[in-house]
Parts: sequence; structure tokens; C-alpha cells
Amino acid sequence: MKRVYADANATYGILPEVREILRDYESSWQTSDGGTRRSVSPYLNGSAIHTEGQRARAVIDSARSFVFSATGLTAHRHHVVFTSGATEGNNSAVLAPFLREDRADFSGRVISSTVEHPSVLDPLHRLERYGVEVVRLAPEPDGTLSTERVLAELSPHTKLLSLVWANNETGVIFPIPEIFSAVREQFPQCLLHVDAVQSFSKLRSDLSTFPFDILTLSPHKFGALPGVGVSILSQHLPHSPLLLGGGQELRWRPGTENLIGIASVAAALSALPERWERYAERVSKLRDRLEAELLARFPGCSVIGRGVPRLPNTSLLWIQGVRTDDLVVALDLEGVSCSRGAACSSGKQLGSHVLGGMGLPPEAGQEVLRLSFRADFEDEELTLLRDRLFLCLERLGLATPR
Amino acid sequence: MTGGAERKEERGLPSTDDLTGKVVVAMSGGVDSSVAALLLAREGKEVVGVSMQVWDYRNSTASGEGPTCNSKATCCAPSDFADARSVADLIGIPYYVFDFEKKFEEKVISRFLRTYASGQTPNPCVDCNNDVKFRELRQRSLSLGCASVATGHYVRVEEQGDGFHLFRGEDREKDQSYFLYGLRQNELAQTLFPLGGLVKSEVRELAREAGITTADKPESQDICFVSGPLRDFVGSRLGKLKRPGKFALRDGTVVGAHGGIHEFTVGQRKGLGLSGFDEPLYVLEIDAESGTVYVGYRHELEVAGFTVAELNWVHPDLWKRDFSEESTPLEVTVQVRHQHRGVPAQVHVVDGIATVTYSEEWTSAAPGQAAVFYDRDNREVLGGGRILPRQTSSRLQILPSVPLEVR
Repeated sequence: MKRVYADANATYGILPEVREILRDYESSWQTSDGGTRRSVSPYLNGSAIHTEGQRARAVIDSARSFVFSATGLTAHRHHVVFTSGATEGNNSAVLAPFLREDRADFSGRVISSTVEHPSVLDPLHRLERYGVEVVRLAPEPDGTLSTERVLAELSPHTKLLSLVWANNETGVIFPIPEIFSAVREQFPQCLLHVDAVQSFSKLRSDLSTFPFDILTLSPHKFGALPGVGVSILSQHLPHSPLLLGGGQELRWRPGTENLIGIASVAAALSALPERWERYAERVSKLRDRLEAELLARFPGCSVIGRGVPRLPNTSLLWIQGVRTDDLVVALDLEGVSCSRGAACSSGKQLGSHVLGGMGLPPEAGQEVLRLSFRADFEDEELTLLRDRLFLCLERLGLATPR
Repeated sequence: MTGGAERKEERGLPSTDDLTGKVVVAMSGGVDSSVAALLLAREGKEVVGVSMQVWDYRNSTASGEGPTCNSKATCCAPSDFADARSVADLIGIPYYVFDFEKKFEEKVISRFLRTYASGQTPNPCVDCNNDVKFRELRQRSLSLGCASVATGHYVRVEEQGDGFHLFRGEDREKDQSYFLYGLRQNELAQTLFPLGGLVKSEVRELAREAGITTADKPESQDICFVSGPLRDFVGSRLGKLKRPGKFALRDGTVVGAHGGIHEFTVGQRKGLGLSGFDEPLYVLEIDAESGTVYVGYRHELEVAGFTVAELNWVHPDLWKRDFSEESTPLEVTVQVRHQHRGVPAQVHVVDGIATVTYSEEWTSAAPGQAAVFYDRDNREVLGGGRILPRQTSSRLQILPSVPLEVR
């Protein structure tokens, strides 16, 4: 059975370019001279002074310059810091402003939203217990959040604004460049953090056009290996790393770098521009077609965030009366990989805080299905997906008009 | 919602026309269900492994609630899911964890507590099989496109001309038919018990040969959702409904006090803490209203029989029979506890209540437990039901209707 992968927001899948790199390193184990190819040796500590260390260093530096060129940013104004992933990046972004080098200071306010990823929400909760005032804005029922709503909560005591650019479950996009520009103008003291994990690889991203202090990325969402993250920091950001130790990554992130992971970031970035094109031109149209066919066939279904700006590859379906943890299993058995909201939690199925945060009824969290497509999603896959989805929905007892 | 499956249920036998031949195996992580999955996969069936999350291990506390990682109660602790997942991986089948917590709380735990509160002795395994495993899991499996469900129970099902017959497992020590008397014909038609013809040592051997790491895992004996002492769990969950009271003799003489009727079962001898009598004392009867536990000598327990409600007939003839016109009693072997060999008896059914009369020897039957009727050869399950308290057959109606402190 040909399987259809529709869970790209969970992880994109390792790109052929990345497999190439893994093969290079694999062959470097087998050659006794440490590898004849430039920059590939089995000795992966980029802090070592010797030749092998220099080769490792070159891999990291080259990956850093790939990040700059893919984002439109320059080393004059920003640092690119490699981390263990966006969970670390988001934790650091939220906590670090309060954990300064000389003292911890839990005065002031943080503004965020109710639909952030848990790697933002949980640190916010921690800060709240420490005494920080945390404001979580609930988006409108369609998932959007306006600049005015954000500005209304800002004050001269606001230390941090932390927002997700595109929601991982709904795909709905917050107008981050507009919000951040307005906030910077009126409240220049407020640090700006954007969680760009889902948006970066799916929307053409020139990050040089608006102000931010911290931007977090998760490279396995665009084809690199899991276990490596990228945080882009403004050079004005006061130095307050969460982890303490060695001098790696300008002391922003001590610890021996995940060299193969970092090399995979560079490889995956090279595929991005073409992908942005395909998402905008093709995938969004396939997605829209599927939604239209589904809504025509099953009037009880609705699409969350339809008609507002959202990611071109994401479709969050609210299928009233169908428990979607069953539907995800049914689809898996029919050869379709997708998820019920975010794939982050395991075992016990929890309701969706994102939908609750948008003001939808609690049962909606049990009844949503997230389809998220790769850039190379094809017509033929769409047809397979549609037929299998319809079969499963009928089995689960969903009514169709006769 | 399992809308489609429920609608199909109402029409009788579910239509399996649009279904694939996939089989859902309920996997606990133990050796029995692992080997059940293995055997079906070897037969060439498309097997889907499913573990049922019925209890939130994260709520496990020192209060004895819920299995913890090192608990003996092995049912839904995370380590068991890991075992089941690794077995599924070894066999090469898909594996999922289904959340049944709400259903389990509703169908099993709350009844468990209500039964104790009414002075009876519950059988949560029967309720779990009847209401969760073979109903909820099966309906969910159908809605996923899987035509049948399999478990690692040691029982046999045979399809004969008149329908499906349920027999004790080949391994008489491991036989679990007592817990499965609630199955209906349409459920038997869609249920597989691959271990019914095997004995435990063969199952362990099969597991070892296949490299299943849980081959030597100890048996799970306890109630799966209780890891500490049972009386502590029930006592704390009953809260205000806990019923302390007196021990009294048949004539009303008070001989002591106790901490709650939920700690006692009719026929119980151990743990009464009463001394100064010529012979050991037994629990004769429990009066939930006054909280009195009546005790007496063994001979006072002796009865001619007992009554049974909530009947289910497994045998196809009895399943179809209209008992309102029945006059000849059934000759059966009745089993009243899991570890009971069964005694000969006659069963007479009137208005959905079975009156069981011992034919030779008597045994003490605890109200709330299952009475399962086998044929006189003590091999085939005919049916069964729940034992009623002694004096009144409508006693179950006084189960407290106040909501329990159910999470």
C-alpha cells in the first residue's frame, strides 16, 4: 500500500541532501586518514585546535552563513546560535530575560498568547510562579490576533513579548512583522521573541524587514535531523544564557556542538527557496481542493481558520461527532499519516489548548484532525488521501447527504 | 462517539462487508496477550496491537491509588505499554494506545465502589470484560475497520451448527471463562482466543522461542487499578459512604466493631479480629443500612442455594430460549468464585432471576460476585449472572444513588 504522509508540521522528513551528509560521515569512519573530503572527519569537536577540530569548526561556521543567507540577515546585527531544538530555544527566550548575569529579576510583565507551543507556555507558567505578571492573549474565534489587541496590553513595564508566528495546529498566522514594528516603536524596552518554527519553512521569509530580539527555529521541520535547533539573537540582547559552561556559540549555548545535526541544517536550508514557491503555488491549492470536497461531502465538518491568513500546507478539520484519536488510527491503518492537533503529547490523549484558547467548545479538541503537507505533495496523493479519509469517516458513522 | 458502530449494533450482527480482515489484539504487555498477537500474525492475519489505558498512572500517589512504575499491579503502567510496544515491534505489527479512562471509571470503578458500599463483593474483571473490553474496544475496532478482536484469555470458542460455544481453556489452572460469561453470540462471532488450546508453559515456551522479552514476566494477580492494600483504596475512594459499624451474632448480640463494611465478604474467615469463641467465626451477612456485619460458625453459612440477577446466556440454545415459559430446571455446575472448582446445582429462571439450588454439596456464595453456569461436565459455559444478597432478590436496588467521589 502506498502510504500518504500528511504530518509535515510534526516533522518534515530527512531530505536527500541530508542523507548525503550522513553518508559522508559514515565513510569518514571507514577511512583511516580521517577522511579525504574537505571538512569531513570523524573527530567532531569544533573547539579543538588541531586540523580535525578546524574541519569541524568550518562545518559549523558554514552552516551559520547558510542561516544568514536563507534569512536575509547578517552577522553584523545578529547571532546565529545552534541549540538542541526549539524547545530549548523557546525556554531560553522566555526565561533568560529574567535570569540576568548579575541577578534574577522577576519584576515586570510578559505578554504572550494562549495558543503558544507548550515550550513557551510552560516556562511562562514557571515565571508566573516566580512573581512575573503574565498576560496571555486569547485570539479571536478564527484564530487571528490583531496588533491593536497586543498594543493594548503593552506598558513601559513589559519586559518581553513572546508570540508564535504560525500556529502549529491551526496554521493561522499572526501578523508578526506588523506587531513587532509597532511595539518596537512605542515600547523600545520590550524584548521581542517570535517562535517561527512552523512559519519559517512554509512562508517566504525575509527576516530583515522587521525588528526582533530572539527568533527560534526547528530545523527538523524543514528536513534536517531532529535534535538541533537554531536561535537567532539580536546583538543588542543582553547576554543571559540559560545553560552555563564552555565558550561555544559565543557562550550563548555552551556544550560541544551537535556537528552532524548542524551540518544537516545547512543542507536542508539550500532546498528552501524552491519549497516556498511550491507551497504558495501548488500545495495551498491542493489543500483548498481537499477542504472543498470534504465540506461538500460531509456538511458536519468545518475548517478552522478558513478565510484568514494561514500556512499554505495546513488544514485543521473539526469533524463534529467523530473522536479523532480513533480517526487517526483508522487512517494510519489505511496508510495515511496525520495527527490530531499537535503530535507532541503521547499516550493519554489530551484536549487541544489551542482550540480552547481560541474559544471553541472543549469537545472540539477531541474532534479535530490536522493534515499538514510536504512541499512535494502531489495530486495523486491528494486523491488517495481523500478516498481513504472519506472511507474512514463513513466507517466512523459520519453522515453524508443522500 | 462511535456512532457508526453503535448504529450497526442496533441492527444485530454488525455488517462486516466493508471491513478488512484485520484483527485487533488487546495487548497488556504481558506474555499471554503477546503470544496471542504472535500466533495470529504467524497465521498470516493482519494484526493490530492495542493497549487500553484505563487508569492514569500519573495520579499514582503514596495513598495506594493506581499502579506505579514498580507496582505489582500490571495493567496500564507506562512500563507495560513499553513492553507491549516492543513486542509489537518484534512481531512487526502496528500498535496503539487507546484511552478508555472515562469508560473504565464509569463502567468499572464506580460500580466497584457502589458494590462495596452496598455490602457486596464486586468483580471488576467481569465488568471490564463485559463493558469495556468486549464492548467498547470491539466497537472502536469495528469503527477502525477491524472485523474482530482477540485477547490472551485462556478460553476456547467453537462454532457449531447452532451458533458459538464457549469452553474452559485447555489449561484448567489458567482457565478464565469465569470472567467471560457476559459475552453474547454476536461478540463471540467476532472474538478470537488464540491461547484457548494451550497451556501456560507452552505459551511461555513460544514467547521464549520468539525472543519476547516478557516471556518470564510474573503473572498479574491483583486488581489492575489498585496497587496498595485494597481496603485502603476502597476506603479512601468511598469517603463519606464508608460504613463503619458493629459485628453481631445472628441473634443480634454485638461482639465487636469494625472500620467499614467494605472490608468484608460473605464467607470470609480471616482478618475479623474476633476472639474468645469455640470455633472460627465467618461473615454470614452484611447489612449495609445499619453497617452491621453478622458473623457466626461455619455451619450457619450453609444454605440450600442462592439467587442470581443480570443473567446472560452464552450457549446459543439458552441465548434464544424464552425463559418465561420454562419449567424444567437446568442441570448445571455452578462456579461462584474465580478459584472455585464448581459444584452441581439446578437452576430455575423466573422473571430474569435465577434460583440456584445445590444438588449435592453447598458452597458459600458472596453477593456481588459472578455465578457462572457450566454444563454438568464442567467444560462449557452456559451463562451466568451476579449473585444477589441472601434475604431479598431486589437488594441491588438499594445500591446508593448518591454520586460517589469519582474523579
